[in-house]
Amino acid sequence: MVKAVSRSMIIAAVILIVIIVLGVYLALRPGAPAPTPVATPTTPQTPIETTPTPIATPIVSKKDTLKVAIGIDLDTVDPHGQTTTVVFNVVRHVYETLVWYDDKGNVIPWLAERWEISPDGLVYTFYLRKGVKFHDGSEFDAYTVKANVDRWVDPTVRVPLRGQLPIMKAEVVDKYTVKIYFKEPYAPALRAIASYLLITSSKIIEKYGNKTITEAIGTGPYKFVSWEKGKRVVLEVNEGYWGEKPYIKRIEWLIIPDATTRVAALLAKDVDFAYNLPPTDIDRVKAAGLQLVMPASNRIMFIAMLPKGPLADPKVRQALNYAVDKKAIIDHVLYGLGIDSKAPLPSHFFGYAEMSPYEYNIDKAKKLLAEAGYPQGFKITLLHPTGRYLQDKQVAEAVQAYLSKIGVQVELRTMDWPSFVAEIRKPLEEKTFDMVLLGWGPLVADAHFTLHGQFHSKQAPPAGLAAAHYSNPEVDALLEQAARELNEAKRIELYRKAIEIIWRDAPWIFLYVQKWFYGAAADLKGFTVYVDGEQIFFHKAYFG
Amino acid sequence: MSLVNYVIYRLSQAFITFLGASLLIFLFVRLLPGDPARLIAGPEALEEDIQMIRAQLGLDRPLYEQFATYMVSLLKGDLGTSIKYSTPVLDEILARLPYTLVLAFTAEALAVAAAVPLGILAALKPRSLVSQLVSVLAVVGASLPVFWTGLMLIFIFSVELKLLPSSGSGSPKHLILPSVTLAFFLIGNLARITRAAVMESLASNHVVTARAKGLSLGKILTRHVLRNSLIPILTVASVQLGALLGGAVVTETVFAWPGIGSLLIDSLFFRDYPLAQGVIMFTVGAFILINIVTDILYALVDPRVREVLWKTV
Amino acid sequence: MEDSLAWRIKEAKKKRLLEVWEAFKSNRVALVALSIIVFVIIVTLIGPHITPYDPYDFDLRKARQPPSREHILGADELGRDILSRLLVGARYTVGISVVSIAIGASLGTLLGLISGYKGGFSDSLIQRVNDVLLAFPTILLAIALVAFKGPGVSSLILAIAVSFMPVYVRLVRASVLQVVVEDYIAAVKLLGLGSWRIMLRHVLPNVMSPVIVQATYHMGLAILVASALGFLGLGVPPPTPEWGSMIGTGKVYLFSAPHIVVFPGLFISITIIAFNILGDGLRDALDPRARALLRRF
Repeated sequence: MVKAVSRSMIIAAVILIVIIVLGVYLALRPGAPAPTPVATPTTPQTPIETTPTPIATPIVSKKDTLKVAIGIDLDTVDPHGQTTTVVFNVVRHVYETLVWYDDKGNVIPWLAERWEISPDGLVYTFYLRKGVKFHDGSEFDAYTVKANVDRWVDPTVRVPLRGQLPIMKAEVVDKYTVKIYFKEPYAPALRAIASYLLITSSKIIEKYGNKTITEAIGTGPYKFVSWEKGKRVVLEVNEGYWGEKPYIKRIEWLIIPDATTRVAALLAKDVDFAYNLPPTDIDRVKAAGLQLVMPASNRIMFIAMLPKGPLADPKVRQALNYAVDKKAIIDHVLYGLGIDSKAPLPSHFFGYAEMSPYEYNIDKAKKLLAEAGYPQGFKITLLHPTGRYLQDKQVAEAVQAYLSKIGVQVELRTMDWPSFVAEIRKPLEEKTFDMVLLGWGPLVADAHFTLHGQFHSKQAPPAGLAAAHYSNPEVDALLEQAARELNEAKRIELYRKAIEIIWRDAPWIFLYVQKWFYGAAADLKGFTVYVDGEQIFFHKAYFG
Repeated sequence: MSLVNYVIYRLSQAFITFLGASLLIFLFVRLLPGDPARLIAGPEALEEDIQMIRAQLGLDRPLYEQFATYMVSLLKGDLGTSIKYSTPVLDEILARLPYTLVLAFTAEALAVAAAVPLGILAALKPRSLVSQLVSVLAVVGASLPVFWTGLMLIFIFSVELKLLPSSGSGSPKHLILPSVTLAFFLIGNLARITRAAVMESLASNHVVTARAKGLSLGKILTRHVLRNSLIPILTVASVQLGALLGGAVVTETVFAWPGIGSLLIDSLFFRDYPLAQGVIMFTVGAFILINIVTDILYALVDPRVREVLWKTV
Repeated sequence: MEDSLAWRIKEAKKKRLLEVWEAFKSNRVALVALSIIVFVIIVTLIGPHITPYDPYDFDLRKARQPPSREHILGADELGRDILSRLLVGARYTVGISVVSIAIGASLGTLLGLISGYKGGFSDSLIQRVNDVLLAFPTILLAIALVAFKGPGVSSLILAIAVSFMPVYVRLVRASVLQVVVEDYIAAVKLLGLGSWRIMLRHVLPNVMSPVIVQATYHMGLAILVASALGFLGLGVPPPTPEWGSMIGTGKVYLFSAPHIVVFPGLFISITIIAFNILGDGLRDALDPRARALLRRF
């Protein structure tokens, strides 16, 4: 009898193998021959992408409910409490801003029909659109804008991104004219207003005061209907919308945390659009005849090197840049979902300037190391997150492998995200690692937010998260000047100078700009992939 | 000593355990590295804004003060306010609770319904097909990671056969795949424990005597064997159920099932202290209750155990 | 003549061990399992010396290459030879699961024994602490261990041992509650034996059966838990290959390059199955009464 039981264990083993093989076979079975995807993946040069918008009369199918899979739940619908791109994306269908972007990333009128900037750059006068109504029926006017600005600057309200839009106050000129004042000239002001200052009704602000707002009332093309925690958010079309009315009457945002499950939901046609899919599934999504959407993100990925030990020497830091084959990492580890860095910021940012890249060259790397006095290499520790960025662990392992070829022995260390952030925030002398893999993705595509946040010496931890503790008075001065410079040409020139210095000093191993991988049903058309590529808009979408 | 007294005694113990646990959990959660204010605001936010958030949340006050506040409101039945969602912790837990209860009880019921008969058969008729199937299930279930089983089921039943929804919740159809996935994982251990327990009691003196008396197998099974082997089965099943009530994290994530487990992970990875504490306290409470029920069941199953248990009071 | 009682007891023990071995030997499949385990143990010892390739030698152009004549089990996400990595990784995986379960199971069994046998205050105290431990999320424990003890193998072992231990406490206590009311325990109590002696000599052997079943089951679970906790920094740091972490990292390639995760998975499964067969075989062999009885049914 013991024999019999154990014999069945052997059967178990066989069945196990069969299940695995069968599962893998089923999983890998190529789908039907795929029609060509409609949306074309973006090229590095044009990170802004729009799917063909309906010309004349599009053939619109009767289907008017859209299901969208996102990976995280909303944290809050408070218009001034937003921080996360995906959540911004959802509520941005409900709330609107004074100004907005066209599909090339230029600022255009929206709830404000036009604006004026005072010569000293301190006062922005907005002339507002008339006849705009909120979802609660109240009217949009200068008093509403003032109420929103007052709440934005109120220190008792939780506004996490207040510092990114340092408004001083607002003043009503007449019912449809409002002035917004800044303490000092702030060059990215208009973009920050476009990205951050979501407008809700005065009634809501009166009702909640400095408490967190839990009702989403905006002027946008969609009304907020319900939010089932951890499950879904439902929006319905705003029949009284002042602008062009959407075809899609109802959008359900389904919260599906697992990326592979989002792929499955898309393949099973349970959803029509899915955010952030795993790069490993590109072929599978393609084979199923679905649309691939791969826009560039605002996030630049890099390895920050701390100015201590061998890494204090710029020659060593340059050597490490030559030693890592970024193109091979992009092709083989990221499945092409990256754009080789030629500057410390994404190419679609205002203020971008292209430098000549550190091409993969082991001999040059070894030579530089020898010149710096480390012909035998050295040992260092690289801290990296796992599961935060595309293939982050695999990228860290690839970098480790490349550096081992020039004799630099890298010890990898990982931790959960909050511990990781706490570790980076320690002052330099308390840090127990030498390099850190990090991504930096501001919500506004302006050089200020990347360069000031990562290279201004005042942003070095513990004050900020400038991970490389980079400190160069010349760069500090250039960045401060650029933030106040209102002349765009002059501003671009200031950033170019700063970028040149940073590029030469090489405080980072410059890696790549991350691209996203989204999937859409073959018949979903007209959705807009927005400026920074991380936000998708469905107000012009339709099935056809 | 009566059953009622025993329950009262255990519940009073539970209260003390609960208080002790709340201190332990408070310390564990608060001493983890990380700063919720920084995590709320995102890495790109400026330090001044983060300081302000920290002050608003009361995180700048000394730890003992925070603990005192926490305990005072806990005794009033208030679990605090979630840092991430700015809503009462209790509301967040109650919103997820029905999903967790449904999934946990369905999965455990499925597992018990399948594992116990299979385990008994495996012990009784070792040469039969059923018995072989038990061992097959046991080993396969225990060596396949849950994420693998879950994704395979999704791809077979949703993507290929289009019979069931791939993920989400809301209808009984949505419940099938996640509960089968979980049950598949649980059956193996439970069936093997059943098999071992039944074989053990088959060899016990009572059964040997009963056989000597010439009782039929059926009577022996129901009167002696089952009763004797129920206790290890109950133990394992209750521990499994407790763990499921604390959240089946992987299954919930794979199937986008909005349960307690994903809430816990979410809150821990946000350092949402009040929410994480609340969820863990809920799990502790669930385990305490389950263990009281299990001990009472022991006593009901085996009167001799009752004496051992109750004399300790 | 040395025909003393002590000598006879010694002989009887020898005889019993021999009987167990005979019973076990008659179970051929269990023998196969034993040889698999012996094989795995040999691999853990000499694995690093018999690899066909350098397990650390990477080549991104070969990344995710499926099995071929050159690389029998294919190449991993960085183009490293999977077979070589599995051979090197065996020692870490087997070591981690055996050590963590040895700690968790023996501590848990001991506490369960005390709790069930002594009853009263000891029982209440042990059980109430155990209630909290049972409910304590492994992931919280793991993050805390990384923070205060540092990352690495010993933190992983501790995390697994502590999270598995409470199950043994409850399991053993439940069985003890049933055993202590048996006549033979009452008999040895009357003989005036010390309680530790009774617990270890007379109670323990009668509650071992579920412990063995549970421990062999946990053997597999430990590897799965290890692979799931890798992202917190627990376990063997890369590039050192460990089966669990190979699965953890390979998870994302489940559909696009399944060999990366399936082969480590198969190695793990076969090892787990071997341990399970061994466990059942051992259990049955240790319980000759059950065998004898079952033959009669």
